[in-house]
Amino acid sequence: MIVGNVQCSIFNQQCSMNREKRSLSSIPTKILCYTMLRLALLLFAFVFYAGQHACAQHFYYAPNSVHIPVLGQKGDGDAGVGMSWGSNYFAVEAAGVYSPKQHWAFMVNALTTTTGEVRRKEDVGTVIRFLELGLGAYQSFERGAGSIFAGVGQGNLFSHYGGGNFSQFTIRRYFVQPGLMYEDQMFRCGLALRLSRLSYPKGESSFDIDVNELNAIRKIEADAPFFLPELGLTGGIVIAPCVLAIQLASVFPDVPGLNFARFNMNLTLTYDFGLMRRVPSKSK
Amino acid sequence: MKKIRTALAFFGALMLAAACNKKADFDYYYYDPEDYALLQQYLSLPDIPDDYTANFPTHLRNAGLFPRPVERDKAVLGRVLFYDKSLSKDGTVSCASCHKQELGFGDDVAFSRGVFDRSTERNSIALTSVSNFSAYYGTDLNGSQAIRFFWDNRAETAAEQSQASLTNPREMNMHMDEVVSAVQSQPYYAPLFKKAYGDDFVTANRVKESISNFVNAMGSYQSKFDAEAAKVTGFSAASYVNFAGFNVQQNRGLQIYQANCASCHSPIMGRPMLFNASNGLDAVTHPDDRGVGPVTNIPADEGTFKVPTLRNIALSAPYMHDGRFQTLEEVVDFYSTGIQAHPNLHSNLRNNGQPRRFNYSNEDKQALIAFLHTLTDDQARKDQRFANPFKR
Repeated sequence: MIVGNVQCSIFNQQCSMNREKRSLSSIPTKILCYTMLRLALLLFAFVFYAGQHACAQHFYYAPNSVHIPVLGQKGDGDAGVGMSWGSNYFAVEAAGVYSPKQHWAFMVNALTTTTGEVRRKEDVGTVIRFLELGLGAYQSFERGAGSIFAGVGQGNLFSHYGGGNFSQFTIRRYFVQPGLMYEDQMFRCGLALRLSRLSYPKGESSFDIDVNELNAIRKIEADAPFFLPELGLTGGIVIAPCVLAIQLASVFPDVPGLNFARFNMNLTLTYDFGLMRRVPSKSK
Repeated sequence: MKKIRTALAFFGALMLAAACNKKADFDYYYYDPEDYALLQQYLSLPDIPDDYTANFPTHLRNAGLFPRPVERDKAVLGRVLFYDKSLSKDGTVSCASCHKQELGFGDDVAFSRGVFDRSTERNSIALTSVSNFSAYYGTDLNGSQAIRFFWDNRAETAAEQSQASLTNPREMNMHMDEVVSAVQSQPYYAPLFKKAYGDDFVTANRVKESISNFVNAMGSYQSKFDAEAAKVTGFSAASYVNFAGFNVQQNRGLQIYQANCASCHSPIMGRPMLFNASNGLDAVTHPDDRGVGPVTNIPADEGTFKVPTLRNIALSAPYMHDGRFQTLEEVVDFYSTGIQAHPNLHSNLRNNGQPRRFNYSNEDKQALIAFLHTLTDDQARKDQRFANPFKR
């Protein structure tokens, strides 16, 4: 979810799932599991609340989630889908990573997000479509993995302001993204710093739009490209072979006057190819 | 090793691509593309309308001058109306026929030619600095401080002035209903009205309001005099002497002006100090042109005329309400020794009740004229925002 446009999804999993495989029979472990479940529900509620109440009509950049994979060996990978929605927005993200060779992997991330009812042409809002490819290296640890990816993404950003007025931009982003992930049999969390260079190779806009919107667009035209450090955080529970996680991406520092979405939070369900292999061994 | 080289090559290529520092260059659309294509058939208008906001320098703001807000779309529409000859009875005259931009929106003949080659009744008054005084137009806003239009001060606002010219039998000779019809018949007006008013419905009031927005945007504040006056820190009129950027002759002219002319025409070229006065052009009021008298029905106004600003005065010869003086030299000669004992001659031009004789030397005259040339605003006379938009 974007700019305080947070995301949520149906959460009806139970920690009792795969209990034997993940050795959750001990009392303290159960308590920890239920604590995690409560925490996840709390985050879900927060995400849903924020999504209902905080949403910009138009924005000219929104960070997609920072995809931080856990890879252990050749053949590992994951594929996930994240969603967020609220009264005034809807977003879907898809992400995948695959390691064709030991220590090397490539990733694909996609984002589509909509604010307002811009899906209908006459209404007001913003739509982003964004796809990026990355190549990187990883090193697995006893409980997790470190990785660094670099790549490029490109997308289209369309805003409609009503009265036939619109703006449309091609956005391109180069990135380098070092990240760390911790993983155990129940829980996964991690962080990454995505260093982005954001440019707007093409753009067009109606001139007869709100002066603040126009000023933002002209400032983008004058100041682009932008070098944006972005922080990615993820935390979730392992429901082997999947992971249900909340992901937060944040642009920092703030970039005032550009109508950039600073935050993206969503709930992602990821299928991890290597999880079934890694988790039993790590839980010993 | 090979993998590392491949990785380094990948990162290198990525960095190279990222380093390609192409600046964003966006296209902006203001008009509907079909509307703009239509406009382009007839008019040379920028795809993004010009901003008509006037940014007055400090010395003018300190003098209480500030531009009346101008609505961009209405000013653009007003610009087209101002230059449109189809708004006159015989299709030969527009507002711009008598108010030429290169002449400070004045004319270079004593009496301009109207429809059917009819002669107008007074010298075309220069409009180039309407914006400078626009805050003072309209009695509803300013009461006794209001400035009026025309040599006889008969119009309160630019809208009223425009209607008077459109309907004057010697100028454009239209009825306002005919003006509306003429506007409706031209295809290029519909997009402009839509932008200015949200629909293409043409009314006389909208026509007048749009011309008014355009005329109210005509400002003059970038002359050499303004450049020097802007450096003055004091607020008193006495501070506006001996400008560093003036030569000796110009400063001498400035000194003469401040001593003898500023009490009527303003020390800083702000709003004139008098609304109307007799400057003693004639000893008696001309029966065919009694000036402000018939407008106010005040005996003291008989034979008096608007006191104009002297901004861009060098551009707008001939001079006076009847264009009797062809050059600034003739004007200065008149004030030097030619003032007549008109019954309503202003006290500033009297000495012991008699017409004042300034008796300027030749050097004084040349200095005064040199100073008057510093009031020319070349930016205003070349400003494309005010130029003729018609392609034909």
